[in-house]
Amino acid sequence: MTKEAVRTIVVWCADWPVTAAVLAGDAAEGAPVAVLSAGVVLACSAAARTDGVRRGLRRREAQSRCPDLVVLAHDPDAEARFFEPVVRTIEASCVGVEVVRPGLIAMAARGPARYYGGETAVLDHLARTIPVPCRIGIADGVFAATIAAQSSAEPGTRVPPGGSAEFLAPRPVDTLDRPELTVLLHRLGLTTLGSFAALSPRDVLDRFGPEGALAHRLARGLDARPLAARKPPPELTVSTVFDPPVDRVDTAAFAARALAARFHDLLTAHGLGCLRLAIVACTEDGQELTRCWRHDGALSAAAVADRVRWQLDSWLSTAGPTAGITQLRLAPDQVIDHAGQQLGLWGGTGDADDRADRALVRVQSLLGPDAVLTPVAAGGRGADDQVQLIPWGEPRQPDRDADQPWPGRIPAPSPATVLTAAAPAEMRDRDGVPVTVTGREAVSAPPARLTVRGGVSEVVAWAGPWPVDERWWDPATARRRARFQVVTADGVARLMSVAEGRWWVEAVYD
Amino acid sequence: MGWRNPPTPWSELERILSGRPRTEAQSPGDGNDSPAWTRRRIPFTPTSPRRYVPTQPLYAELHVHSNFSFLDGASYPEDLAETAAELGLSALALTDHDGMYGVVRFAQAAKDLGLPTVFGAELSLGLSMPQNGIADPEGNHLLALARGPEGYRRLCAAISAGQRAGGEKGKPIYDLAALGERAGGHWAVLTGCRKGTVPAALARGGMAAARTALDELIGIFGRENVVVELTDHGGPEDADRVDALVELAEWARLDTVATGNVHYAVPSRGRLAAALASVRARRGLDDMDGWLPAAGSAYLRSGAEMAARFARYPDAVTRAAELGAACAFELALVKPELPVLWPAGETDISYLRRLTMQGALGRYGTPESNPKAYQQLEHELRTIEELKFPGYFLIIKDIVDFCTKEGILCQGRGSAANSAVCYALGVTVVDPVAYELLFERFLAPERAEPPDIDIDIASERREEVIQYVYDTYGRDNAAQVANIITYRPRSAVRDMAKALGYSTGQQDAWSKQIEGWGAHLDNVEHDIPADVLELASQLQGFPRHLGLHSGGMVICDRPVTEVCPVEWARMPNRSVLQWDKDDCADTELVKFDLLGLGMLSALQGMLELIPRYYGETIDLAKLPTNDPATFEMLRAADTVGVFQVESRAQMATLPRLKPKVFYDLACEVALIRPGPIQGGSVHPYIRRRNGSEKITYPHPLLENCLRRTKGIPLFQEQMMHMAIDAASFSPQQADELRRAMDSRRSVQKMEKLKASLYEGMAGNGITGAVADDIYEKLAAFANFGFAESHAISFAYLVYSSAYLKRFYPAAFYAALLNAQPMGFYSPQSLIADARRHGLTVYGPDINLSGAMATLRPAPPDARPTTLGFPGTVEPAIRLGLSSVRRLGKEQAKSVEAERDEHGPFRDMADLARRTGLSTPAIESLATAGAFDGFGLDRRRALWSAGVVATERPDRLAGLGLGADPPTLPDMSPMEQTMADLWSTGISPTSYPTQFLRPRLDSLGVVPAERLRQVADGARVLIGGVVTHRQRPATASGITFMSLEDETGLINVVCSPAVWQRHRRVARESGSLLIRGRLERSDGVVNVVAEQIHKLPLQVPASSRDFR
Repeated sequence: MTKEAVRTIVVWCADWPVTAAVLAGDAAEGAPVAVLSAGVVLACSAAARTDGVRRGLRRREAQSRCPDLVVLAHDPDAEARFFEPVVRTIEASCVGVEVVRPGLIAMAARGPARYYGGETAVLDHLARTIPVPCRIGIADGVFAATIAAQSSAEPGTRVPPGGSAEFLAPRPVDTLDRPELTVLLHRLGLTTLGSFAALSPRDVLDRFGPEGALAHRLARGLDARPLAARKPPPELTVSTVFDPPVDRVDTAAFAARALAARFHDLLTAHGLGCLRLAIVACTEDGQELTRCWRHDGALSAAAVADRVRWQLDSWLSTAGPTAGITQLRLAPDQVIDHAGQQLGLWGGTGDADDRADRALVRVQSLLGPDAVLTPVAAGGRGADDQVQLIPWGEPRQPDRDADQPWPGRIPAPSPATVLTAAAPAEMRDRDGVPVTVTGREAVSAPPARLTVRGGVSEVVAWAGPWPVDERWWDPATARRRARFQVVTADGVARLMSVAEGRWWVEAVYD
Repeated sequence: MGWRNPPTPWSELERILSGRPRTEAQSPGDGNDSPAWTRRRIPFTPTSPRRYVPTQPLYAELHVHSNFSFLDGASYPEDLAETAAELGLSALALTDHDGMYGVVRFAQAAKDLGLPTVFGAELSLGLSMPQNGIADPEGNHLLALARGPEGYRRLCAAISAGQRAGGEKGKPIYDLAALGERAGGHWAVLTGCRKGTVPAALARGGMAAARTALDELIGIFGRENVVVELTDHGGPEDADRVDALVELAEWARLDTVATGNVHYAVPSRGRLAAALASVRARRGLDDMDGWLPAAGSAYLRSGAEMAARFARYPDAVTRAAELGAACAFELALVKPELPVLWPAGETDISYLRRLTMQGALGRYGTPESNPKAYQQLEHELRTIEELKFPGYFLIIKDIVDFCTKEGILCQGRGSAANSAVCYALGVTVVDPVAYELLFERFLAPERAEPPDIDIDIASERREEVIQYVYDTYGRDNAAQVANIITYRPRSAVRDMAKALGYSTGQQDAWSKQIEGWGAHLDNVEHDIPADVLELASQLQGFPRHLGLHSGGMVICDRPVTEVCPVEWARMPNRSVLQWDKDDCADTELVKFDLLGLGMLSALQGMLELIPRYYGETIDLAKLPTNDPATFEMLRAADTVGVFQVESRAQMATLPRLKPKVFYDLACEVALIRPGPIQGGSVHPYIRRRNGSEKITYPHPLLENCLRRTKGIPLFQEQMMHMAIDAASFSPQQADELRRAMDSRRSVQKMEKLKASLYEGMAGNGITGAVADDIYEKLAAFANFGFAESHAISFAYLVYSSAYLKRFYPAAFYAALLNAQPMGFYSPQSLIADARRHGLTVYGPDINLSGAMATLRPAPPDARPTTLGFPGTVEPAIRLGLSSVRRLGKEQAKSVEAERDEHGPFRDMADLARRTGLSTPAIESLATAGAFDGFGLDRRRALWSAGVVATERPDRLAGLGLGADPPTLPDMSPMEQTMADLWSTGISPTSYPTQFLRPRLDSLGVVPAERLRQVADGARVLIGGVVTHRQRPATASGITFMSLEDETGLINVVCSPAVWQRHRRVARESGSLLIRGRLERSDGVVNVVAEQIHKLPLQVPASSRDFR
């Protein structure tokens, strides 16, 4: 028994990561651009394609084919954000819109077709209204509709009901995007989806296993999963309330992380995985925003969090809600049985930590994530770079590792007062000549008189010079100086430095 | 001595020979003795030689790392010595990590400067693994200084033992207690840097721990030999540490010395040192920050600077000078002799004479029957005795005997090899008497050169010979010579860009802008950022790591490990000296070159196949001389697969050079090298051979020496003769001149020799422009000379391989396939060439193929072949199972062994069960058609492969799933060809372009073989599979491509403009349609490309590009 595939509309924006980058101003329109993920080209612009850049090429090869290629890192947040207006436009005319990934949308065709008077009419309507270049495919099942969109010219292609298999038949098996399988199919002489589809499902299962059987279903114009995805019980929905309402992307994203984790834990506890996720946000003025995200396999906790973040980011930064978000809800729209991770037998972190965390998060939600900072011991040689402040909730990982040896670092005891900006000073020897340090690290004469802010004091003890030539490879953070410890007659000990002939007070030992 | 392509590029030589104005270019080699490229180190020339007087206060720097501490040290030993002399140090030590890598250069430089030298090493204790890629290397250091030559000897031995004990490269293991014994009081041991056991203990556990560590050192090395080392790099804690160490020394009643723990000569190199540290740790400077020193303070300081720095402990500075004076000595090593190989009661020469005469009987017959040969032998033996070379010949003989006994094909090559003695000993197969090669040209008492015989060995089995040498002479007495791998502009740019945090793509882009390793950073167009450029130009030429010389081995009568430390190479079971060939030469260690040669493996294969399938036995020493049919084939450039003369460039020259006798091949080998040919010049020699240019001599005096090469010097030996004849130089002077020119030794020396050359020429009435002309020719050739003696040995391989191709083609091609990878052509092109000569080729078959390619009786309907003996039928070639993708040589052999033992395979399930081959391997076999014998077509077999693979050796038979394949589309011949190419890289019965022929015909495409009939200058359309893309550095941006179709090969020349315009298609498409103009000269046809299009043919890309 074969379940009929659902009539599906797919809207596909080619090279979306590139389009998003252009919209974000990271690249000029028409420039050769490649967006890379994990060192491999994920998408490229038409100009880059002309020079031979292709999906899946390694960065090195891509740059050698196209020397002036603009290489950008994959930025899913931005891609989702810039995609939001597109989704919203479509939503204005159709219901049940699901985002597969930024750049690719699927929806059931039945509703809109009835409303607009036929699928062709829907197609025309969408092509007219969508604000970015895109192509539309209508066919039985998501796979066939996607192929219809991708293989057609603008505006799109409609494959008649029951015609998906026939439509797919002449296309190369490579369309399946399963390289290991297709290389075998080619060698067997099964170069088109049609010839592959003509095999009996039983033979295919025997020879290629479940993964092959799945591809076989797609080739036959059926939906990927024969199993009826279940409608989940309502108690699997999680939600959180914001008071005061959230209107900043970073705060929302921060909240999304925790909610996504709760959502995922809940599903996992029920042994379920989520195929389709609805994200619902309520606003102060009573709007309810909903968006469905669809995925081929079960979504991981991180994947859920990503999608929630993308979505909130999109809503908030593209004139979505007219007021702050007061409530956020995650509902599984389709679930499958999924033997996921179980919770640790002995539980996780302690209650006390939990309470402290909640309190700090609360403060953050009031004042913004950057308002709650905690110090972390960091690496460095100067007095000023041995501590780093990190927003609560972010990984407590300093930029400079404190466990590294940092040869030449200022040793304990550390000065109690570290000046945020070093104070200029003057240092002269007994004859009143300014003290300098040569390129070969020699002091011109012993320091004798220190002048700070007009006050002059006699030097009674000093140590140094301790030369430092740090980060010379990065002009923005480079430091080249010689440090001294200087004790003056008034009993004050200072950490000083001389750089390019000028003296500075860096810190004071109290 | 070996194959040397020198600083003068070929284009320059050609310019001089043809009398054109000067252009600038440079192309040094890689320092190895490979046939194509090698270069010699330019000896150190001090910039300001003068009488050396140290300055007050006296100070000797005793802790110094040069760049031979490999990525930990940022100055050459020479630079350190020079700076030390400028600073007026009283002595300088060199203490690189675990070795004596730089001592020869260091000693030479210091000797020239008059600077006293101390030799030592910093030993790494407690390494659990090689430390490259680790930010902070583990373990402790021990700084040992030799107190004199005996201490040096013991230190080398100790390092060798430690390296040996570690069992792998870069991981020496020393037993601290045993080191005391090895030192025997001949070392001064310093407590070292922060990684020394004592300072490390101090930092970790305070004074108590430090005392324990110091006590341990005293217990092992003796109180009088342990010195507490004080180093102050100006860190906040350095002064405190120095105080603590001084206190410790007082407690232990030991002396202290001040050192600089020097890693570079001058402060400005500190940043390069930091960049090197991050290269060593395999991370960017950003990630290395926390381990880098705070500033570049590890430079050489003068006595005055040290006195100021250690003002509180002035004695420590004075004592450094005293210890330096006590330890200093000049590195003059006792040269080991060659091992004794003659029996008791005989002498080396009497034994050599006996062996020679024994061999001569077989090669030359009796003295009565061949008096000329015996006369020659007597003469040579006298010379060998006079030169004290018998021991050298005996070792060569011993190695060759081992090869003969084991059935390993080998051949001697080099000046001494072209002797009747070597022929009699079986070292070579070229009879110098028959070929009239004058011994004097190669070996004469006047020539001060060390003996020179390289042994070329079938590359597949060279390892056995190397291991034989280790086993026979001992690991201590025999070691391979190192090749110091140095930074070239490209690698320097790449590594520095990486350290500075630029992306891989940028590193690639920049290093690509410097094409070829001959380029210099300052004369290439590039957009490399200044920071990268600055570091990279400092880094250029730095030693990067120790590699293996291609085949050089030093063999001694006593442990060479006491002369130079020996360590493990990356290759298993290879131990290698820490010195390169120049260091060995400077210390007069005799090197034997055991080189692997793919063609000898192939020839060996042919010699094994011929008796089995032709019923004849071939002795390479007894091939007919100057066989006309063979030379006819060579003149027609029908030389795919033939040694040395198969490349596009070489094939283009054969029809012009028109070789007729063996000696012509030697000329061809010397002349037609990739460099010269790609220089794009029609060489004056060819013009003269063909009579289009008059044979003239620069001066009548040179006629005698240049006559046999038409007035053009071709060989290195000739250039020495020119100096002798024109300027009445003595042979020693001529040799000195060659070496001076060759290595661009000191300018003064060159000037002196030049003066006496001109003087000598003037004495013979040669002055003015003629003298200048001769001088220029000499200078050019000194660098380019390809030794005639080597050319002759190679020429014999050209001749042998050509002869076997001409008469035993099936064996020839099969053996070439089995010796892959080697040569210029892919297996597909070799087989296509075989088919074009009418040979039959079968694909692999599971029951009929061996692991390797074999010969089978030809089918009854076989076409006649255009090669082979007329009237005989050539066997067919059956591809081996190892040619099948995903089936390695080992697996193929085990399949063959299983079949030999238990009979043929009954079906695929039987195969799977008996061999346990993986599913992908069986699938590949199916696609290659190896199961055709089971009556299964390839696709049905491929389907079944997935299912039968459930049959495993450890399961019961027949339990696998049923394997009844569904109906699958039939294969077209084109698809079959593609399946062949996919699975074996070879299409045995067809060439992919032949299926497109009707379409190509309709487009007006001219097949390769018909190009010969097209008029010169005509516009043609050609098409085929790309087999090669080459852009020689010397051809000013021109790209050469070779296209192949079912009828032959086509040369395509592509100008930079055309390449640029079509580069995407030209570079990426496996097959091309090219429109262009046909150019023909002397029977050589090129197509000059004008337009390049893709040819729609789905061949897997397999061209050999830009190698």
